[in-house]
Amino acid sequence: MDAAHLQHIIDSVVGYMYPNETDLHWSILIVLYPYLTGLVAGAFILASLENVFALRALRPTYRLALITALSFLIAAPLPLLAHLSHPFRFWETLVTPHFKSAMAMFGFVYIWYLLVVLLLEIWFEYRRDFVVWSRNTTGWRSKVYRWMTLGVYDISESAVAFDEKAIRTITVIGIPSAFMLHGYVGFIFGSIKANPWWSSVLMPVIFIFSAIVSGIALVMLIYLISNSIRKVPQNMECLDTLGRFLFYGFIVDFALEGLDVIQRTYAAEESFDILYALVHGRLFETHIIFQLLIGTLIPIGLLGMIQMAKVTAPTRLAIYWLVGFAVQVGIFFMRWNVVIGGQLFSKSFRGFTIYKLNLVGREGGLAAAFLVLLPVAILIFFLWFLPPWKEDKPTTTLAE
Amino acid sequence: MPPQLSRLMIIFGLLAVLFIVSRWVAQPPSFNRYGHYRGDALEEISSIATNYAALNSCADCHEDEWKQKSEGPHSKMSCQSCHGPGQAHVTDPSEANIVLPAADKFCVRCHSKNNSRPRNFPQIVVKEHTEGKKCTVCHLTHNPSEMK
Repeated sequence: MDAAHLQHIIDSVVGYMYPNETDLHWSILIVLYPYLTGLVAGAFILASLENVFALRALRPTYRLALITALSFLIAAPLPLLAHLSHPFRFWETLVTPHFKSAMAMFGFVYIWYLLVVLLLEIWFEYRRDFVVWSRNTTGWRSKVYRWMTLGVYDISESAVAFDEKAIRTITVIGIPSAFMLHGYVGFIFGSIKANPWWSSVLMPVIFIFSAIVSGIALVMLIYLISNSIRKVPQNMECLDTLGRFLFYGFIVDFALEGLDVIQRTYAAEESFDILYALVHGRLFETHIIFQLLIGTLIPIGLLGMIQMAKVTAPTRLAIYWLVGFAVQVGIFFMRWNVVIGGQLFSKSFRGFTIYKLNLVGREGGLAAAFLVLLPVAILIFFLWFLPPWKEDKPTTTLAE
Repeated sequence: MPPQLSRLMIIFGLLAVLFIVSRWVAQPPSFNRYGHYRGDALEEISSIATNYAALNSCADCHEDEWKQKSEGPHSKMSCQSCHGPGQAHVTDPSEANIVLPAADKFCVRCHSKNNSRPRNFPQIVVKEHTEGKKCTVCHLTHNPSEMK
């Protein structure tokens, strides 16, 4: 860190900060990590809804949700590795497993989720297609599809029926695994007793429900965008079902966060004054405007309106576009407010520091933008290589 | 057993073997000798040269200053809190010396008036209190509660 950067931060300190609190240790990269894993867990849970509750209306988004989850899961650990400075330090957590450390166990949770849940479910879901594509394509694509069949070319009815059974079993294991993947991020924050902004038993549950909200909204947005690009009519039955589940997820998420605020206000522990000043001061824009107003109240209001009143299809469609973007903004800033907000106030409860995001550098804005765009690029590749557009025949479209 | 399952079991089996082998190869031999860390690390760390001297090593030579400090409000503070790391000076006083902090800038780091400091902590509004003079003009350096 250069001296001018540190001087700027020191000049912006209000009140008293301990020396080791002045410059933040956890930067935007640590904000990105829960944001990305939340999208993974949310997208997977959406895919599971279709499977577990047999929601046919969500069928067009099933595969899309799975490969969205995979794309974001591949990119999810990269912010953490970049933050480590020496990325290969992660290797130590695998060869010397520490079962009492939540952070050290992340590598195993991640590998479990990647190998045992997501890749397996995708493999069983696409296995029949791998066989067909390996025959219908030529060149390297055909070869890769052939490798991906793992040498199993049986696509008889009984073999496909076994695949479907396997998918249902994996989903049953997958839902608690998705909760574990993202709940544990909340668990780490919630377990930090010294920080009153983080220390809450509700934290893992809030993280899970905000993940569900962000994942459903992301898949909805990708579905809307991909249909527009492919010039396919928007499937309103599917979108309305997504909107309904997004609304339910939001209600639970909002209720939990509200409960957290009410409990903190009622308990009014000694940290309450500094947290009140934090939310109304340094976090006002990101917490009240972006997270609460744009990311929560407006989407809940609009989605609630669709549930309660008769809204025409074009208006509903416009609302889904708007909500899709608004929720991404809201959930990103929810992660921001947790990670950055928790470091802005002194543990002496007597002062505030600032977080200055640089543009360049390992923990700068450009690096963060790259890490957000990377999973999108991976997703575009997967959409081309593993096209998910099976059974995408809308029962009701915008035209009707 | 369906062929899908047997193929997957082979792959997962290979991955498990790969993990066990890489753990066996990559885990340092002294790991877990005393706890969840490399046992050799203790020797490596203890062989690093120290910067800070033992807390009471200053008293061996600077008896007067030590006595003055122990009678004042800074009695619980280490000499090295103000004078910086002193091991090199203790090892060879003729080669290395300790830092002499600037009395006009150093004391006010802790004692300038700041509302977020505890109320009973001695604090001054620097401009009014010092009138441009160094603190040590009036205060005894190693026992600032006493005046010169």
